[in-house]
Amino acid sequence: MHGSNTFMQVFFKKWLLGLKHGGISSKNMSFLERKRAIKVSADIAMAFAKHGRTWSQALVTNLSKQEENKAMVNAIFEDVEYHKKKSSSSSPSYHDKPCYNTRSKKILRRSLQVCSMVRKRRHKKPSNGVGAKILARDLVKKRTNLLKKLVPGGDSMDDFSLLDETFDYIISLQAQVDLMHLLAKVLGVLNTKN
Amino acid sequence: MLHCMASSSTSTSTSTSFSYLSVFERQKTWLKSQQQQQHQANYLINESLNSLYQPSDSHTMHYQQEHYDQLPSLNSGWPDLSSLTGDPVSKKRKAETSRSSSPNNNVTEEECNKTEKRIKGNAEITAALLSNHQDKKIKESSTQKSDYIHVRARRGQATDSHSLAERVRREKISARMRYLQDLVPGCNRITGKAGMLDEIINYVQSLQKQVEFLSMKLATMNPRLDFSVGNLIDKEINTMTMSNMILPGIIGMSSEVVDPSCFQFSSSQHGMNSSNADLLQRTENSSVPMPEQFLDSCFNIHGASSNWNADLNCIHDLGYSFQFYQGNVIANNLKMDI
Repeated sequence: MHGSNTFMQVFFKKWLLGLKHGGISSKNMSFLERKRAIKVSADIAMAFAKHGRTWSQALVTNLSKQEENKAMVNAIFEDVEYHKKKSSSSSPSYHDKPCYNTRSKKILRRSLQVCSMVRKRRHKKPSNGVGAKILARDLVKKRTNLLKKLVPGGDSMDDFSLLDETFDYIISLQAQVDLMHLLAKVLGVLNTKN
Repeated sequence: MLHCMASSSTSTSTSTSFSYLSVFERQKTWLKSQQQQQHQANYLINESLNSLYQPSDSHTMHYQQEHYDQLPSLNSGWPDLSSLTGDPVSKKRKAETSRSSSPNNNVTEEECNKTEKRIKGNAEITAALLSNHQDKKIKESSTQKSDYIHVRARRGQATDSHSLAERVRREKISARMRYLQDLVPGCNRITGKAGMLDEIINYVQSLQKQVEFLSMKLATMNPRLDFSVGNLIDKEINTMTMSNMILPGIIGMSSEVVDPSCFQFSSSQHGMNSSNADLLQRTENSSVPMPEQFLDSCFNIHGASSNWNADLNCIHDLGYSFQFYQGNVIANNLKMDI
């Protein structure tokens, strides 16, 4: 129980830190910019709180590819003292490792696909009885590909770990939504109070 | 002659009785093993039901929170629920059936009954099967109990290593799909990978859209989201303790309950609010670090007071912090009487 509380605590703290860093209170920000900053800081905080999962690393990598997010990433990841050493050692890995993984696995996958295509053209499968099976398999394949696009870092995962990461990702997303609800509720209460 | 026949008849009768005895003994051992397994099944049932009936009021946050820290240690921590819901023949029972890591906490009572029935049905089927099969079967199931990596080939299935590995992989995937089925709401009726994947995709997409929408909503709110506040919390608040379910307590509150209670609270504390606001406005503007202590106290305050008071206190604390940012920043500690 206590452990779960620390996840929310860390998440919330880092999110507020990111919001502060994003300078949300400044009046120069447009509405869309503000919304974007809120969402990005929430995502980075969520990834930070779930340190060590593939999807969290991939999420941070994807977000830090954009210039405007880099500062916030640095702020959230390197602000805490005891994380400094960790982040300094792991920050290159955040930026580089998933890229290499995806590249090599994409090459592997493409070569496998070519091989399987060649094989399929040579050996035609028996049609009628197995048609439904092939259809089902295609459906599953299509949907797994869709899921891979949804979950950050899902491209370079096999089927089993994809489900694992999806489970973790769904839980973290639910936590994020609940936290945002909470904040909105509190702010709403305050607005009506004043 | 007659004596011989009589003796032979008695001997045969005794021999038959002996054979009956042996059969009876065998049945006894079968029954015992059955009972053992049923006891284990019942134990598992009780464990799962206890976890199901834990006071998780209505919200998924409770079980989810139990997952937050346990998921990194995923492979060791997840119980193998196939013993509860899987097919009866291959019972893989692990020694650890930690109730906190069961993802079943958010099911309703109907689902409780359903799983109960399924488990009981499975137990009955095992009883029937075991009584009908030979000793080999019992040995197989008992060896499968120990360690799920050592899988023995089932009766009537291929025994080469490839298909065994395939079977293990498939069972792992189906176990994951079952966990996901418990997680994604409304997936109880759906069987099969394709349908489940469809639901999962829809759910993830809906969650992501919710995040977008909520971030838009937060952006529309008062631009008082700059949380550059100083140390608001004084030491008194730090020493207070509260149940650590305060945050889920807040989240679990229904909207009807939150607003009247908050308003009630605000009206009673209105005098204090205004006085504190005056105090705040007098303070200087300065850039200060994040209120770590404040947040800590927010999440970790324990109290002798009831849960409601504790929740309101937390909201109150949060409220004070939010009030402070109209560009004014607190430099001094603020004492709050709670």
